[in-house]
Amino acid sequence: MIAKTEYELLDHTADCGVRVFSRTLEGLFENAALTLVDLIVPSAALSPNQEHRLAISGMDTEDLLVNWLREILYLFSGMEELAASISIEKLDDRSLIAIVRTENFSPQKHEIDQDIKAVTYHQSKINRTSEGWECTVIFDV
Amino acid sequence: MHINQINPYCFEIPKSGDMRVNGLVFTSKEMLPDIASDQSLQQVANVASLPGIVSSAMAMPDIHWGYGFPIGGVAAFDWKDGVISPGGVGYDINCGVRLAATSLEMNDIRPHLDRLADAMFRGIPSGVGKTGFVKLNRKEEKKVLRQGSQWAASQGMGEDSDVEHTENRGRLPEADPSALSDRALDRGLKQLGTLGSGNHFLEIGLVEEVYDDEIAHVFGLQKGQVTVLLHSGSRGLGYQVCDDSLARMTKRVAKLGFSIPDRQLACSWINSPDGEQYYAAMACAANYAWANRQILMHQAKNVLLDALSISPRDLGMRLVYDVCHNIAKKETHILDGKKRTLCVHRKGATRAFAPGHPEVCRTYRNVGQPVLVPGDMGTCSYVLAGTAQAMEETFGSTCHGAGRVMSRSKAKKAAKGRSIQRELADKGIVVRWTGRSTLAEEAPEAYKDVTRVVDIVHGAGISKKVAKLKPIVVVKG
Repeated sequence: MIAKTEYELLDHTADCGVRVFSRTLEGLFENAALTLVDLIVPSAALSPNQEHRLAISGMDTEDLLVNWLREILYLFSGMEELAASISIEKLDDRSLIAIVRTENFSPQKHEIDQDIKAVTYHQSKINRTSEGWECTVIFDV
Repeated sequence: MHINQINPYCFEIPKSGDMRVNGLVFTSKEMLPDIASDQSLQQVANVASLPGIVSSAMAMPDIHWGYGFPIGGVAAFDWKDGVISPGGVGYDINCGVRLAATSLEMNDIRPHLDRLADAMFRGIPSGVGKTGFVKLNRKEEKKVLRQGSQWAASQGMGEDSDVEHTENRGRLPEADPSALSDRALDRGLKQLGTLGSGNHFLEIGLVEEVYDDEIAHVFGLQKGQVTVLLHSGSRGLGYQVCDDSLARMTKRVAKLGFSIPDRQLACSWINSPDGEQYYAAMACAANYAWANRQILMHQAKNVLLDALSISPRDLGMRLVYDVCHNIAKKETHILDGKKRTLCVHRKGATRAFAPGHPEVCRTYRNVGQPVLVPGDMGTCSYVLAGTAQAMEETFGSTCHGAGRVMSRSKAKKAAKGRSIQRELADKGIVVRWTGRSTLAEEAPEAYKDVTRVVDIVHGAGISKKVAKLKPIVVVKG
C-alpha cells in the first residue's frame, strides 16, 4: 500500500497521469509501482502470499521505469496478482532487479476503481528535485 | 503554432521545420481554441515529419491528444517507402462500433426498460477482469485470430449477412498468430465475448431523427425504430500486441536512419521484419475484435428475445454495419491521377468510403458506406454515409465520436454531489454500470458535443448525416 503523500494525480484529457515522489531512486521505482496498484484498487489492504523476482532492462532510466511498470501491470492484467510490497535489489541506469510480493486479485475482496490498461511513454520523465526524486507517468485507461 | 484557415471547416498547419507535409485539421473556428489548448496540434505536426507520409497529416474534429499520434488522427504512408506506427493505431486495436436495427418501437419496450437493463447487464459480461462465455483453447483461439467475424458466424453466433455488413467482412487476411507473444495469446483466451470497461458500452436506442430518407431507407433505418449499438475493441489481447510492438520498435528506433520527435511515435519501415510482424499481429487483434463484437451482438439478441419473450421474427434484429476506428489498413487510393498503395492509419477516425467503391458491400454500394459515430453516454449517436469528397480529401476517413474535453479527475470533481444516474433518468435513460467511478468519468460534459463534431464533417463534405439515435438503456463497462 502507498501513502497518499507519495504521489499526486495529473490532469490529462483522456487518461490517468501521476507524479510520484521519493527521496531515493530505488524508493521512486517502488513508489511508482505501488501507485499503479493504488490507482487500480485504492487503499486496499493487501496481504502478499507469493513473490516474483523480476529482472528488467531499458535503454535509459525512463524506458526502464516504463518497462518496470509494464511488468507490475502485467502481474494484474495477465496474472491477476496485485503487487503489495517491493524490495529493489539492484538498480542502475538501465537495469533493475526486484522482489515483488503479491496477493491474488479477488473481486469479492478488492474493489476496482480504475481499469489501468497500459503504461505509456507519453510525458514519462524522471527528475532530481531538492528533496530527492520525482517522476511522471501517464497510464491508458 | 501558426494555423491558416482554408475554409469554414478546414485549417492548415503549414509545413515547417521537420515536417515533410502540411497538417490539415477539420474543425470549426468555435472548436479550435479547445483543440489548441492541449498538444494535439503539435502531435499533428510531429506525425507530418514521419518518412513516407503522403498528402497531409490529418485530424478530425474530435481531435484530442494521445500517444504520439493525436486521437482523431489520419495519416497515410506509401506502402513501399513508408513507416507503420502502433501509436497511429492505438492501444485498443480495432476499437469500433456495431449497430443493429430491430422491428420494435418504443411502445414495445417502454414497459420493460428496467428489466431490459438488468437483463443486458447480467447477460453481457462487462467491467474489469470479466471473462466471457466463450471458452477457447490455444488452437481455437488461433482460428479466431485468423478468421475474425467469420469464425463467430461458423460457430452459430451470427449470420452470413452479418459478415457481409462488416467493414472488411470482419477479417484482415494478413493475420498471423505466430506474430503474437505468449502473453497476448494468454490474455485473449478468456475475454472473448466481453464488453470491456472505460468508455465501452452497449446501448438500446431509438432512431430519433432521419436526415436523408433515401440513404436511411437503404440502411434499413426509420424514425422510431429500436436499435442496439455497441462500442468495444480487442480487449487485453490488443493492448498486449500494442505494448509488445512499441517495446520492440522503441529498442530499434536508433537503427531506423531518421529521428522521431516523440518516443511514442516509435515505428518501423512497413517493409521490414518489425513492420510486417506488427501488421500481422495488429490484423490478429483486429480480427479478434470483430469476432468479439459479433459475439456480443449475438448475446444481446438472445437477451432481448428472452427478456421480451418474443420470436426472432418479431424482434427482426438485423446488423446495419460494423466499423473500426483504431486501425491501419493496406488500401489503394488515387493521388494525382495515379493509383497508390498506402498504409492508412486511422486512430480515433472511421473509414467513410464513397458510393460506388467496390469495398462497400453490395446492399449499400449505391449510397456509400455507413459510418457509426457514438456520442457520449447521455446524448445521442449518429449514422452517416461516406462520400466521394472523403475519398479525395481524407483517404476516405471521417470522425469517430465525441472526443473528450475534460480529464477523468476533473469530470469526477464536476460530478461530486450529483447523481449522474438520476440526471440520465430524467432524460429517460436507464443506465447500468460497473466500477466506482465510471459514471462520473463518463459524464456528458466530459466530452465534446458530438452534434458539433458531426455537423463539421457534414459541412466539410467528408461524410453525410443520415440519422440520429437516442439512447434509452445503457450498459457501461
